[in-house]
Amino acid sequence: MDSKEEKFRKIIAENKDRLKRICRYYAPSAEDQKDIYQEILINVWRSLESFRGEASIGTWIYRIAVNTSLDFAGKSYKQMKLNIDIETPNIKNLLIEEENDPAIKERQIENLKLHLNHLGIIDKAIMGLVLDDLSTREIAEIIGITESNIRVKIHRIKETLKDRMKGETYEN
Amino acid sequence: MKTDINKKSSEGDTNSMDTFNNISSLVIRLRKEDDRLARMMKNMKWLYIVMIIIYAGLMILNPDPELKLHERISGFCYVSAFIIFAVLFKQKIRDFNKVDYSLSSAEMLTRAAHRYRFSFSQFFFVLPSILLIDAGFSISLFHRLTSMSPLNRILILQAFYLPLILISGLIGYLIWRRKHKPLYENAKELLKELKE
Repeated sequence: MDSKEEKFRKIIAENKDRLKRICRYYAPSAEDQKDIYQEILINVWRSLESFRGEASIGTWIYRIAVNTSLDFAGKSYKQMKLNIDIETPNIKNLLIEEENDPAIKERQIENLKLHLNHLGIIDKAIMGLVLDDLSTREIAEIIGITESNIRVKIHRIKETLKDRMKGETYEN
Repeated sequence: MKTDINKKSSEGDTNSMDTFNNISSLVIRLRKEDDRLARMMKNMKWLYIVMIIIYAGLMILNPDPELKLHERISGFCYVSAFIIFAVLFKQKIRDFNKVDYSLSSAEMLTRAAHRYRFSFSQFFFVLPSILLIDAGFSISLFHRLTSMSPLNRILILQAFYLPLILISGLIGYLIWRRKHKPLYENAKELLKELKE
């Protein structure tokens, strides 16, 4: 096994869970998740030589994953959908009304998913990172705009979601 | 509230992605693809070197006394154009194969927009080759069309060559419009969204 292969296997083994989580956000079906996972692995392989440890390995992996999902040449572009469910970490940060009833909560999440997927592609990518609990500094490093811009964008997206979801009732 | 990016724990079930666990076959495919690309680049390099040597040998350095000076000059033009084309082609292939997904999204999109743009400045890089081929073509045929006046000879040769170049340019533009323009526009659209 040469050093490139060794490095690749090590990075993938260490970041498998993170990659799976990202794939789950960006692809609705298991088949699509598998496809996007493969695409990310291919791009990790192709970008291996550029990794010099200037960014943390986590930021590096996220960049590749987000850029793969933004890859406008790929079939996923424009069809990219944020896939969230009750298990999604930090979902509570986006739910407008905190609910204890699981059935209502599920409907709220479905509705939130619908509104999230009406956002622009970049906004969806940013929200994927927010849901993965990344800090604004980390998101700024991945997306390539300033932290303050990221903060403004996140605030604006949350306000838009809040506006769209306002007044919607989730009776059991 | 925020945690370090490297310390995140795994979430969700792992069973649904069992198929992802075996990466050995993928590594083999990636390695094969790397080898195939490297082999292709190497073959192209050698093809260019061999062609340049053959053309230079036959059309410039050939000791045959019947090979006239204008034919040697014409050969020199062709070989020079060929060398320029080879260098440009190599650079283009290298640019397309070096898409770095580990850049920030803004940087990656900026580079993509630049890579897929249609620009007349690119034409200026090809222009020396076009002119050298024109010169080589005109010099070699100028001495064969002896029945016409020199001016007519030049005009007829240009009337034949220029439409060829224009048609090639048009085909290049149509290919760009079909294949690269949508990619360019998508990259620009995402960059605009990013800056909003």
